Amino acid sequence: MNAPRTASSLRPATGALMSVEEAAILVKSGGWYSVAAEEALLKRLPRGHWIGGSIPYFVGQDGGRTTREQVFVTTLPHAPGHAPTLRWYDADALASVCTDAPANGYTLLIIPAFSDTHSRFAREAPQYEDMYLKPLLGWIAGIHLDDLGKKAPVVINGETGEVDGARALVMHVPLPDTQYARLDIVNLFEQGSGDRIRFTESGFHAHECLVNGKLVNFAEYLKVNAIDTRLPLVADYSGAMINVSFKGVDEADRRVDFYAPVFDDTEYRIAKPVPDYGAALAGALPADAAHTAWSCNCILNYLYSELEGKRTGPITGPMTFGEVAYQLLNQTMVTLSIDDA
Amino acid sequence: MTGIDKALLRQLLAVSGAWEIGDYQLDLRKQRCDVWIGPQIERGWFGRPKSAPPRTESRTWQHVAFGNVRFFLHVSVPVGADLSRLPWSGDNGMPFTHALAQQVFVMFNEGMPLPAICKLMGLSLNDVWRYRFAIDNGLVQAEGGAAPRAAAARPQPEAAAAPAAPRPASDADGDTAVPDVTDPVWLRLADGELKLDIKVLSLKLMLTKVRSQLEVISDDEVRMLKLRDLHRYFVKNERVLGHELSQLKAG
Repeated sequence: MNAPRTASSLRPATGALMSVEEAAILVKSGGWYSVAAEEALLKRLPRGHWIGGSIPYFVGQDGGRTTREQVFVTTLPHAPGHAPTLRWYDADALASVCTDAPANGYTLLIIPAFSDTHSRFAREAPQYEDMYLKPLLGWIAGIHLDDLGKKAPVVINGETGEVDGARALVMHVPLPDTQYARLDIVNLFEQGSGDRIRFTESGFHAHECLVNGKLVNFAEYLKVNAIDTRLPLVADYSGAMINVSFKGVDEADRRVDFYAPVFDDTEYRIAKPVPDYGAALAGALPADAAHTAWSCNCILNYLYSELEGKRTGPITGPMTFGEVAYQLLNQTMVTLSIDDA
Repeated sequence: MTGIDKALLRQLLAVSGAWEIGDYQLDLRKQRCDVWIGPQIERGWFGRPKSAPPRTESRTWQHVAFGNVRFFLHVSVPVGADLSRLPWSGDNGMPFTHALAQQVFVMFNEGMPLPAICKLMGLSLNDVWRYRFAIDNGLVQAEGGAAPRAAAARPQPEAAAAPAAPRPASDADGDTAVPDVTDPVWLRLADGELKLDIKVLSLKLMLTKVRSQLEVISDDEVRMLKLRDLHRYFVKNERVLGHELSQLKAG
């Protein structure tokens, strides 16, 4: 048996898996933390400056891992004299999250999956006041897939111990003028060369769509063309590739469901396949990847690309039910770096 | 219930012509006054209507407050009637009357955050956000009937739209490398004529949003508001946009 890893031996800046006891020592030692683990483990942690969400899937220091016994902890960059603040937001209040954000700094957000807050954020975030002006990042808390229908995802405020399955929890982290936060994504999926797809309505599901300008039923289109729905729809946002992942196809209702909303003013294409995600991701990371301070990735990448036991370069993090880099993303790695001005 | 003279209420709300105030309810404890307005009905002997009243739809808008009292107008609108010129009416589905929307729009133009607008004017964040969403998506026109002083003092959209040569970075904001908000480069960037090699994720997303909005916005005042939003983004994020700003200056 390996000797237990101590908090002081943690290597990746983006965080590491550890026992509840080690995590407890860490959060009691001061500092500010982002924590991801099963709900029962989160509830065992002591009070401290941490923001937590439920999930049992990770890429840890030893590679991809599903665990109900360990806690993933990231030490969040902050500066003396600039104390972060934690705050709950319901679906209505979340519209002001960017205006509430510090003038210089970043905002870390965790939303429980399947909640109204999750749904509203997905559809409305691009229209929020001050959206894109200040770094907003985060993830959607989830559960073990074996627990679907039995448990609900939660977020937890480490300062108070409050647990919630409906509201979003936010940590606003101010930085001094000598530093700034840089938020980016690593998305290996690109638009394929296939059909151009537009949707007649925005939303988490679609019946009809326009394929190269011709109205068709989307479920039937996917079936007839034998589309691999493990590949997301990809939209080109001025050079940023933004995915929408397939959740399922209801053949009886001739409806396609998504993990993020499609928008009626956006053109999509099915992604090109990525043969070996883990290796390709490691190759696609920026040269200063080791400088990354926080990261998360998508559970679909974990499952479809079979990341169990595999590393994603020097970057670790929870594998989530949705990623937030300003707006809700799917099948995308989100990274936060802190640079000197 | 505290009373108000109906004639005074008509004057305050500028209800005139073929419209009349049917009823009102003033609740000083809640600092709220609800007023019911409908088409004037010509009456004959004993107050009986001379003809059948027109078919109407009921709509409610929040109006400009008087003192601390918020006004909510419940208007019976005859089907097909055009109320667009009446300050005490609003757009269908919108929360505010034209008069109140005009004041809110002036604050948008000044870059005031939504929570500050709500606090200052006693409005709900939901309502202000709904109005802002409608403007951003071209669902309603800006309330520019009586051009707001601040907006009028600013450059008109035509100035930004004119195909003039780009101006050098303004000195007005100190040492900034961000071109002045009046520079035509903003419209060229927003409408896709000027293409940049963009490295910063937030700019890619911001630009996509602004371009998408401009496709559906025809109102000049709102288009100008979008260009100001883009300019504000650059001012706020100037230190991470060196690569993009150098192209803007050359563009």
